[in-house]
Amino acid sequence: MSIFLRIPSRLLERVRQDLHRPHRIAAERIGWLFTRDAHCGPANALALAFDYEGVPDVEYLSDDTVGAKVGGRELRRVLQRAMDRQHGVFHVHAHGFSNQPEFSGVDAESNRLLIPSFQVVAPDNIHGALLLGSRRCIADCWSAGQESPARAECVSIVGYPSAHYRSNK
Amino acid sequence: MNKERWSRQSFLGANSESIIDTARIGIIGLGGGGSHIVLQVAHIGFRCYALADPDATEESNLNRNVVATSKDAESKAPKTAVAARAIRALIPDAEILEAPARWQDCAEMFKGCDILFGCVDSFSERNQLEAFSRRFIIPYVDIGMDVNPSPGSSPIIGGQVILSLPGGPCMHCLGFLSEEKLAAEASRYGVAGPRPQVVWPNGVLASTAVGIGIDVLTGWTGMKREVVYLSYVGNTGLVQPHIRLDFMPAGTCPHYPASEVGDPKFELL
Repeated sequence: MSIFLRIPSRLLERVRQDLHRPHRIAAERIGWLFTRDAHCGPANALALAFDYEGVPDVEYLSDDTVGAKVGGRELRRVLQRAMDRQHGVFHVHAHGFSNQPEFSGVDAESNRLLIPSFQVVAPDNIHGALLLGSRRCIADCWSAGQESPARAECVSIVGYPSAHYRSNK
Repeated sequence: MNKERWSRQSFLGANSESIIDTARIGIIGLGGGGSHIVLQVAHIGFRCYALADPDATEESNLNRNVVATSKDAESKAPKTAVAARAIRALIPDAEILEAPARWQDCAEMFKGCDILFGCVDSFSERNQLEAFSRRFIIPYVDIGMDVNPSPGSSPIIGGQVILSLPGGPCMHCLGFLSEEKLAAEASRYGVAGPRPQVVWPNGVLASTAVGIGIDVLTGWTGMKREVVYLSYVGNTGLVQPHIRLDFMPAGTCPHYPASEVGDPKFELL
């Protein structure tokens, strides 16, 4: 199944502003993008973003080996929200230095461990990880019931102007 | 796209050729306004389309449908087929999803569009199209015209072009739609006869809408906008921002909460 992630430009602006803020102990910030899904024909699905929450300052843990680390309390909070409201959840962070962002080895491993947790609490939703570059965005998505992620066919930032970041372009 | 054809519009930006090649254009209503939009986006070079109109071509359409012929009226060709033919004459390898049906009965094929053009002829249809576009986070461009009698004077040709963006002011925020207008229209259902329609106002409105759509998709002007609401007076040829923009309430649109996206589903409270 091909997945298309759509984010209103106003919402993405909020995300970028939050992720851009410096943190006292973390080298980078992370946040959570919440989505609802839609079918789009037999072979496609839409993940439609409607809300964002940045990780609160106090929830970051000190760890020099990674850019950012959050504790169990924050993860449980987000899992609870996903379960209560049956939302999709996308872990979001930024590689602002990169025109062609790509998940690092640490990112990929973290996503592999984290995202299936959301599949447990909201099994009918698409979950994933969104990475913002200086201009482009990419997203890896876990469809309902899928153990491995697939790169989003396209990440669309919808506004005036819109931007469509296709995985094969 | 053929390089020679592309060379005249390269000012749209380095990525615009790729955008035009991959974007899916949805056009609902393929009559006076929609036929102009079909022709123009095909000339620009867009390759992927979703088209819907339940009607067949009739003789009375020929005064304004710019892709239909006398033969189409004789054979009562579906307007979708006529539009698809016009596209393929310019883009032979176009990917066209076409449905000679009400768009609501084939709504699935519009979910994948990158922009929707609504060229319909009722407030109710516009309301539904905007609701759909908000639910699936798609920019929506609406056009329409009308000819209204003016006692003691010539009729007045009026029209509008509205761009409705997710999160931005909607047509209710702009005062173009209201519950009162929708109710009044519903009470007149079945009573309204053929509405006056002519080709040139449709051309002005459609061209304006296509220009807005191109800018949404390519960003070539560098402008950023929350909403577009243009009014048109056909008698004078004037297209200008609608005065209602000056009186719009600030803040986010209250009519379409951000969380109301995705396929509708039941939620346990």
